[in-house]
Amino acid sequence: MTENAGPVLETQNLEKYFDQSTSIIDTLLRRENEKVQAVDGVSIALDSNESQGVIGESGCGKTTLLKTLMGLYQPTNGKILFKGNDTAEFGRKDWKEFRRNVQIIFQDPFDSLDPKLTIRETLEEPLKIHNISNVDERIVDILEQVELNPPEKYLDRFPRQMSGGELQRVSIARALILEPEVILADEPVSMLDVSTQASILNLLSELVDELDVSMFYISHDLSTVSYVCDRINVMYLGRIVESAPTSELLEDPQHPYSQALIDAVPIPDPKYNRGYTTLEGDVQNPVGIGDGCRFRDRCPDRMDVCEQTPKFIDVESDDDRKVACHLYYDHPQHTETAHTDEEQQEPEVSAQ
Amino acid sequence: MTTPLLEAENLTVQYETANGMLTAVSDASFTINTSEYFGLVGESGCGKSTITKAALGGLDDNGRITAGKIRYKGEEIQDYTEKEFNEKLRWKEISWIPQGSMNSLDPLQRISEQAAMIARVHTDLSKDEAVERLREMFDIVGLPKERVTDYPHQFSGGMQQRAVIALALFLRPSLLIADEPTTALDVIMQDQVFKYLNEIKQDGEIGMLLITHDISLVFESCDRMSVMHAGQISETGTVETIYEEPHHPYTILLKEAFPDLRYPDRELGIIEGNPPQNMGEVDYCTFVDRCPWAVPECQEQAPSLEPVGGDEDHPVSCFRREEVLEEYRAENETVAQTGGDQ
Repeated sequence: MTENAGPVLETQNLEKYFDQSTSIIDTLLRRENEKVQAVDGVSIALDSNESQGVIGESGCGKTTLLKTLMGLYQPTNGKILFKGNDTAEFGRKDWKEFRRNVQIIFQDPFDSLDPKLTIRETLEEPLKIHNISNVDERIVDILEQVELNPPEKYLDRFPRQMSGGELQRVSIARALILEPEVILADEPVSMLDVSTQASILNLLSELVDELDVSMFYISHDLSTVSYVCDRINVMYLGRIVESAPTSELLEDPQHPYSQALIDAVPIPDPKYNRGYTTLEGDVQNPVGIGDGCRFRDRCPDRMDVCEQTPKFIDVESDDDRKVACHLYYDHPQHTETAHTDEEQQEPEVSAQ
Repeated sequence: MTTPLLEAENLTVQYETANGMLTAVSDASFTINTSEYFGLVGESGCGKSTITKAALGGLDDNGRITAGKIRYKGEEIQDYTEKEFNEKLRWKEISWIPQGSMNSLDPLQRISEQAAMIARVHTDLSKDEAVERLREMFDIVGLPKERVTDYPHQFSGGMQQRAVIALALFLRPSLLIADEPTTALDVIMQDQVFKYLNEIKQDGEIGMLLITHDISLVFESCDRMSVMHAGQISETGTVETIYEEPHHPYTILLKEAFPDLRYPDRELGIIEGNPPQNMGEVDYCTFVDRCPWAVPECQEQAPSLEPVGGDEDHPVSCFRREEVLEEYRAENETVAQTGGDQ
């Protein structure tokens, strides 16, 4: 692998389609079932020391995206670049190096730690695999870093002897012990109580600041993502519909879906009159949905042009933000569909 | 004074386990008034679901009410038999929206058939009348009327949840108990469900006991609330009081721990430690090990719910209830000035 100064982890037009189960009749009749378009043309780039969030409702493809990034799924199309190197061309050694550098924190700490290993054994395993010495020292250090103090107290415990918050700290320690460059976190606090959730969120955001690590944080819960991430990508049915720095997204969401999502988050203040969502219906199934804006059936601002796939363009006046919505650019009789970000054009309507 | 809709008085519920008697609810008291939305907030395992099960006679086999009373419209119900619960209360007086409603519908029966069965057991409505009422309810919760004859699998998750709400409402009960009604749903779907629950409230015919871990849902949709910690009620009051003047240390810290989308830069408060498992009699404050303001007294006896500042409608179970909030505010004064202003 060669070093390069660009993003640590990047996807270019990444697609992951799944086959549906085919019955014997289908096979006999040579009928092709339509694919499940779980991830459908996602391009994101994670810089070093940056934490980015991907939010969306269940079924929008965010976990598939994470697993594909991790190399657990083979992408259907598109590229994953790790420090500028295409993972499709990786050999065994490259993969081992990649896996040392890209670590994952799973959603459910009760399910993702081996119940028969003590905490010491759990943390030892990755070090052994990668032939790293001074094992004991590293384990104690990392436990201190995730605030499991004193570390000796926890070393010989089994997962069943610990609370959910403590276990999630062990998961974080396991992810960090190899000093990775990228952490992929899949809803790391959704199984925890509020009091514990706050401490894990604080810990994660401190660690990302202190250590030399970048993070992709996947969640359905906008209020927790906003505490941890510098930048948020909003995902809907396999596509990123908007990408913006956290505070800008929260203050002034551009895509109608981002607006609806933000408006639907309850605010812990009895005097704040938020008003309920006006959105009707449900997320579609991502099966054979063809072209066009994915959100058009639920969108309050639907137009005829929404039958075409919107471009993912820069937001006028702010080149740090991108949105995939026809509201934000002119349509001089063009018909092609593209995910490319071509030169920006004037927005024709400003939403709200 | 009018009779409250539901009233718990010094309620203690214990489960018999291999290690002895586990106290899930200890000396809990609260009242819900007619057509009032009441929220009960707490972490998992704090006993909030146990309270609802006790009110409906649905405790697990090893659980029982060992002390205290539950009254529904003034009548004591804690000693009701299964038959009495069925004849007098369930569905037509108190109905229940369980956690994970998707799994609480019979997958082999049309919704209308399920409604007809409930009506047959609990009322003398005919099948047609029952289905007609269900149709009206479908309209109220925003489902197409003609879909009452669908099977559960034909609905999406959010629609199933609304179908369960329609079933819970169609016999016109006076109290709806909703146990984490939207935990399994996405945020937009959750908002749709609460939109309908709020519309139903406008008619003023039904009260709700909302059980949740999400304090913001209670702040948004309820009139009054209680906060619970490890079996004890910490504090009760109107949502505005709890929001502005929380007096129990747990309430103060819980509020600070809760993410608020409006202030993504605010440092989240942390509550150290975990709630204890209470075995046998609870003669201490269950929050003592996590409380930064604890004094020796807190270990020695359980604080009872006493009015704070003489306000009968704002009882707090803390020995230091009159001073904690001021201390907390003094400690955090600098923080408040630099940006945590709310």
